Amino acid sequence: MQRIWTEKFRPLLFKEVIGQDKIIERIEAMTKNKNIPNLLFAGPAGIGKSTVALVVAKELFGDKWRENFLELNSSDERGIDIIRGVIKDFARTRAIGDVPFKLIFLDECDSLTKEAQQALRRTMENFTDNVRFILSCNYSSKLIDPIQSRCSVFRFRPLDKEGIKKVIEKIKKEEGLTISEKISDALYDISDGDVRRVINILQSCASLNKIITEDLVFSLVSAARPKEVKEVLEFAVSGDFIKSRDKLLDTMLKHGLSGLDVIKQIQKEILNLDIKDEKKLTLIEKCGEVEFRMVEGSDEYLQLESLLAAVVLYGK
Amino acid sequence: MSFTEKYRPRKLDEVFVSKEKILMLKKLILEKKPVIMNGPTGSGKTSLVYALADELNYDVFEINGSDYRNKNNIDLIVKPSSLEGSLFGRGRIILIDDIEGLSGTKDRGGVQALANVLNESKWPIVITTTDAYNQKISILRKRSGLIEIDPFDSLTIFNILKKICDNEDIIYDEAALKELSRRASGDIRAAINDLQNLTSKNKELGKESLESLDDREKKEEIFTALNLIFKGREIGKVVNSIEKTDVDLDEAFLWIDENLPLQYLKNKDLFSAYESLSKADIFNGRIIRWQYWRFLVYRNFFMTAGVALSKEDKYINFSSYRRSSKLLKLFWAKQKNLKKISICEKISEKNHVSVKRAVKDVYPYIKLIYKSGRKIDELDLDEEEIEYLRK
Repeated sequence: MQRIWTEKFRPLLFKEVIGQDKIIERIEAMTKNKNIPNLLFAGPAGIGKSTVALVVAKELFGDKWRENFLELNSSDERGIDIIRGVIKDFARTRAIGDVPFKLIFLDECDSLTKEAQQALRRTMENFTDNVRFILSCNYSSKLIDPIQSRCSVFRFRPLDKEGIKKVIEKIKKEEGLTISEKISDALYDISDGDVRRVINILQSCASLNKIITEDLVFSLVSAARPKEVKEVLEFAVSGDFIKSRDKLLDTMLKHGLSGLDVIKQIQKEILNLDIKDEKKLTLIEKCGEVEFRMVEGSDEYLQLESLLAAVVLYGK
Repeated sequence: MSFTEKYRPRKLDEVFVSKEKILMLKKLILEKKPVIMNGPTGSGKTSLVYALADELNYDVFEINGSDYRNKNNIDLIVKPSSLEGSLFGRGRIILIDDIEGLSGTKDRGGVQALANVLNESKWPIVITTTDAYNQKISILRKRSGLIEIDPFDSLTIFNILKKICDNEDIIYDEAALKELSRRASGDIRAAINDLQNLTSKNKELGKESLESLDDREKKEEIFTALNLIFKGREIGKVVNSIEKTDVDLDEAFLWIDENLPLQYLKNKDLFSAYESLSKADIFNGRIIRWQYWRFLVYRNFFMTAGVALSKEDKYINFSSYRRSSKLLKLFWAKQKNLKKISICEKISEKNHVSVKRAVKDVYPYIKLIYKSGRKIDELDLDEEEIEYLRK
């Protein structure tokens, strides 16, 4: 049966997890004692937060892990009422087996509103006897203090080159792929330390050819990553604000991009613009400010428009 | 051709005014006496005059609101035609349509000049007005006969609209047509115009058609607010501009965002205005996150006064504003993406990622894999979904 490789190669045991060594060490010790506090995993996507949560569950509950483990996505099931309902139902029954508590994994907590977070905090308090929480988020600063103070916080880091290469090596061996050293390097550069991305790229490359070439990687990566963002920027530099922002909206909608995805790409592209270096500096500074405002504000698109207005002003 | 022109009554028996009043008017005209016709807008005053002229085989010499009616013009244009004989010996009615237009400094002396013409004229003069008792025209009123024209009742409007619909092959919802007739409040011209506007696209009048009428009223409101914001610079006026409309802040924000780059043509102005909108949005984010509603004050301030004060010089060009298409685009994108979302829900289930994350980080690669002819059994996709991915 053909599987998703990110699942096929997802570590099942602590010792299989690549990267995050210090974190694994501590969590493994807690798990062995069958007593864990509430945990908060912070860090960017694709570096092992969900994987570690799953490993904890499997280590704690053995083959009963499915009964004792609940996984929820805050960004999909946004209403805290839904979450509370589901959590209550789940927590009402006792844990099965020799561990006295059940485990709830709440992914992408930073997409909850402050109000919902307050509710979550109370829920956490109400069920301390028989439920432990593992929360994950990209930015712990987006969580209210009372939640952070109720959890042991672990900051996950993007994998380093060595870590990513280990992952590639493992897949290469098991799938019988041909990947040169140079291409491994290239894959690391593209990945930003995101394991999920590396594995997804490898699987889509391998579906075409088991011999992975540089051309193959780059053609696939660019096919999977919209190049329209560059056009958005080009319109702005040429002074056409309206075309630029229309293209921005279309691109975001077409590819389901978040503002953050877009600004990351814009920030990289600014360096390639044909403008004076001083202006690049100004724009990068504005980029940072806009990224900050996106975190604080409500409408990422509007914030990006303000960035485009800056590009129009400084572009020429 | 506009319906109001096409269906304007041309004969006396098509006019919806009582026999008695028609006779009164006819009598005064035959006696060459001046007449003031008093009635609200769209009650059929002008049509009546033309229909009567037709019946009597008279010409109509009309001056209306579009002509300046100051003393000079009255003396130069109206007076001669009131004195001279007509071509081919036909009778003539001098129609001063909508005398309200004759006001202010531009028409100084117009009323007095007209009063003189009234005395000397060889031909009957008909003056229409919506306010015969206005002090300004009292000297005219004293020398003229007065005929009151009532507004249309909504049933009559309804019947007229119905006839037009039948004649134009317009499919209509009866309740909607009734509502349209009611809303015209006696103004047949407005009713017919509305009908034509609402049905010009697909010759259909449904219940939902009327919503766009509401919309039009709202639009006028928001236009005023946008004018204040984009053209003005006085904080006091600008800050309350949105409050005064029925439009809520979110919608107003969309309007401002949409039209800003069309209004602020200098890059510097555009930049600082977007700085302001950006700040307004930050406060909105804080409101949502903290549920602290007093921040609305600041949001409102930055999106109105902030934007208004972002321009170096005033823009004085005339502007029309357009509605933001953002929400509509969001909606269509959602419709278009339904299949994609259902696929991503399956990915989410199997791959321990949120649907959102699946859309961004996983879906593009899954699509590539399917495009290359392979598939992933684990995802349990149905035929339609597979086809969607391969297309």
